[in-house]
Amino acid sequence: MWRSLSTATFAVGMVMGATAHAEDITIAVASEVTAMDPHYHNTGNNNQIVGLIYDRMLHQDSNQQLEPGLAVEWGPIADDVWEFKLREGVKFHDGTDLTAEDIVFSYERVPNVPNSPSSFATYTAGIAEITVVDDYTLQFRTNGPYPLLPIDLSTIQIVSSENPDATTEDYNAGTASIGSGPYKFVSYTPGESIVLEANPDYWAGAPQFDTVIYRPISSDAARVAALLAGDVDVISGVPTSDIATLEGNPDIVLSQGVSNRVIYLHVDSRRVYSPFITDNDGNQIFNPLQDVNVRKAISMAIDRDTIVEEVMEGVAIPAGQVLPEGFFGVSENIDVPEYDPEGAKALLAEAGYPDGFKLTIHGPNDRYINDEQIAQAIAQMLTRVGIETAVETMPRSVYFGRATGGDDGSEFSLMLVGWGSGTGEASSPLRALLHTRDDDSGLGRTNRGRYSSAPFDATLQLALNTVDDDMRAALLARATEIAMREVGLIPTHFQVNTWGTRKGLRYIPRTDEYTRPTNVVPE
Amino acid sequence: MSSIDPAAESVALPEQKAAKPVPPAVRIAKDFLESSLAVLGLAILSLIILVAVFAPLIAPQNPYDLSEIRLEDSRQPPGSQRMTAPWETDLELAIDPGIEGTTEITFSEDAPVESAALSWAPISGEDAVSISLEFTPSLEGVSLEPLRLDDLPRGSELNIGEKHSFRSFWTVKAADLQNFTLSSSRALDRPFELELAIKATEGEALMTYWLGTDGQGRDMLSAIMYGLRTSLAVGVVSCFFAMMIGLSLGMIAAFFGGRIETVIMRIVDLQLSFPTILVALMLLAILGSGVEKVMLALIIVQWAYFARTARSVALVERGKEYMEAAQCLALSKSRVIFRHLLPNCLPPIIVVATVQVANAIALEATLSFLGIGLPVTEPSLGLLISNGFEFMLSGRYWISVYPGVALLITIIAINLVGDRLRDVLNPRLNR
Repeated sequence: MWRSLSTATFAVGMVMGATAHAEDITIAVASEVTAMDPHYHNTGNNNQIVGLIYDRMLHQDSNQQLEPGLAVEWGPIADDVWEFKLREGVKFHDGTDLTAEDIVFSYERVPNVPNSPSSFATYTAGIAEITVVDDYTLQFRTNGPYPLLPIDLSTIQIVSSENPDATTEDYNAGTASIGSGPYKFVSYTPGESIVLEANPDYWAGAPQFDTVIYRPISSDAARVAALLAGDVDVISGVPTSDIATLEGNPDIVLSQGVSNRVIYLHVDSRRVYSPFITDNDGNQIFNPLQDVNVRKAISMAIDRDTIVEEVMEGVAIPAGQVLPEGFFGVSENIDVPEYDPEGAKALLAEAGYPDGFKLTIHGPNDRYINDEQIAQAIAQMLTRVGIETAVETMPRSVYFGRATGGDDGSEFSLMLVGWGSGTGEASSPLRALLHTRDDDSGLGRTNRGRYSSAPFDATLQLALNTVDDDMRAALLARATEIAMREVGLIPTHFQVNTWGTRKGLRYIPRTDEYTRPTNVVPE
Repeated sequence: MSSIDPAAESVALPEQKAAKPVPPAVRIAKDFLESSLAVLGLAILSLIILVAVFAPLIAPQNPYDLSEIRLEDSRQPPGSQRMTAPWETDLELAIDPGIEGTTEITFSEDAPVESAALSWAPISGEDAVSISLEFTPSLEGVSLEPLRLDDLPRGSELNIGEKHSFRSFWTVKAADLQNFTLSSSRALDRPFELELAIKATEGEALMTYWLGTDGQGRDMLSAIMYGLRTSLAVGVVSCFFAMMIGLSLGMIAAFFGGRIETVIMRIVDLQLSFPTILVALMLLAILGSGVEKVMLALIIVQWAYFARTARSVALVERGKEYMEAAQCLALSKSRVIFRHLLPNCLPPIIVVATVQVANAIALEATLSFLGIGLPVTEPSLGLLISNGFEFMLSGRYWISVYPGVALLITIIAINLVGDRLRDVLNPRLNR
């Protein structure tokens, strides 16, 4: 009797121990959040985490397709009016009901967050007026036809209107962190951890894990070591050089997915003088990158296959446009530019630079997979066709501010950057990176090369106002073709992301590169 | 004034009588050579300096020249070789099956063969032609990818080799080409052109990567030689200037005393109360990157050590009689400081300088390891170590380990020399 009882107790203990372990998860990510305020900074590092605490009108699934979120039904009721029906019975973490008022409050807060390094206002700029029909019905009047409204709204987190004056600091401290998402805010210690706990009353059901701990570990080697040591359960950004070794490790599960992020070069194509371009003797010259043939020559001089094979160790896809195959609005007529150093030299000679010139390529050293190595590889390739290229890389905290620059444009001439399409279709990079810069409409905000082309702008505008999906896809593809023909930017490759999980778990890759516990499944 | 001069000489005279003068340099050298460890250190250090100075002459590659390094050769293990692009060529074999004929094909100079003789003869009564292709000299010695024979006329086949399962070319052996038959199920009545693709498996070895290559295809051995050059130059130059500044300020503080001393020495205290690496990091964040900026940062963080040492030595020296004598002569202050005080302060400063050179090299390596300071295309030892760090887990140890060993040896050698110098120059330890 006694013996069987103790065995039973032991067995119960085992089961409880096992479940308790399975319900907590520690995730190591490469980059830290800049704030816990969901409207402060539009960057993947923040969005992946605040998107767990807060909810959105519409969700994007792992492939960035739209799904119902707080809104259950939506659609245009006129050319420039959209109606959204809200899910009833959704409660914030403090127990109050989420109503249309909170949604209006959130969208109105977005453009008014002070000191935002990259605002979500691009996604609300097209809204002229929001009308609350009743507690669970909203109507959006837009400036002209606006087919992208649902996608744009899917990027903005809904906060509680109970804290109308909450500042970014209040969100960081947690006093204002009242959301309605699957996880609740517990604590945020900069540089150390973000702790979340399950919201058992979430409308889609209680989430899989009780506690989620995010730990920023910026060193690739340290992150992998943490996974190998069992300190963390999931890591993002497995370095390409370690993939082969980890694949042979039975305790580690790897998963890979193509991302929506293109790595490309912004080319200073408008200014008469460019800060980092000189002739071979170091004297200032007229900016050769104004000439489309020189830009084309640079593109031809880049051996994308070798970058993918050698620098990325095969874990990337050579790129000829701004989104990989399969995404909405991608052109089927664009091939990856062929590596042709002789052709590049000939084009340079034709453009009046038979002996080339000197330039400096700038890039970050802690943002994209192997970013510093890519910049060096490109410098090597350009030097071979006669453009003597120096490399300067810096931490992203310094880099992006300087790359975007002030009113005079970028501080650099040729810069390595990446862009992930937040909307999962081609208009996001085209709007931000290639449209003529226009501060009023928010278009071209990230056009660091100041590429400007009337036919491109017109085609893109037309696309943005076209409600019919097939038509819009065709117009976006057309706009992409124009920009690529004029070499508005030089794409090199699409990132392929690798996640590592401990044995027993598997990560479902997301095209938006987010690392979220909601994508972790038992193996 | 002149009446004091004879007195000074009269002090020196009995000393000259007492012992045979041994120049101090000789005595120091003799003492130094007594320690075999220090001699070893000196030998290694001299070798390292020679390598660093003559790196552009002896390094197999200029690792800073982007057109010389090849991405295709990245992450090669030690001992692997750099190859030329393999020889490849497409031969057009024009054949008229109606008549017998021969053609001579000559190759370009870089090819391993000089010429080839193509001859063919129709086989009477059949739609077939016998073909022979002979290379001079023969292709036997050259290692080749399987030869591909393409563009056969429709409906024809060869009696040698094998056709690809779904593509149009035939894979053949070089030896079989001397005599083979092309037969067709259709009439062979018009001239055709076969295409023979020849590709060597590998090119000629250009150089050996004795220590492997890094992630950009840079020869590690050359990169280490050039890296040593940068490291030593940064260490020596920054130490020299730091010594100049520190020594002058230290002696001025000791000589004048009072308020000047207080001001200088409090600045020194302030500077020394911050960790060196922190100050250097902040400076580089403000100054930006580049070799000269790193040197400037290192000078700023190092002068205080020299100033403190110089002051303490000068304080002792200031009380000695020869200083009083010099002052009694009413020599100018700068002359007293630099001609009388300075030479007597030098021995301990030399010791500090040697140790500081090693420290400066280590500090420069630390800064580059943290990714600030020098440009990525011109790696110093620290940057090489840092670049290789990310490859450690994947087993490519050579990118990090060899520059690390080079750095270690350099610093140990300098310290061995410095230690011995301290012993030799310290009067208290003199037997």
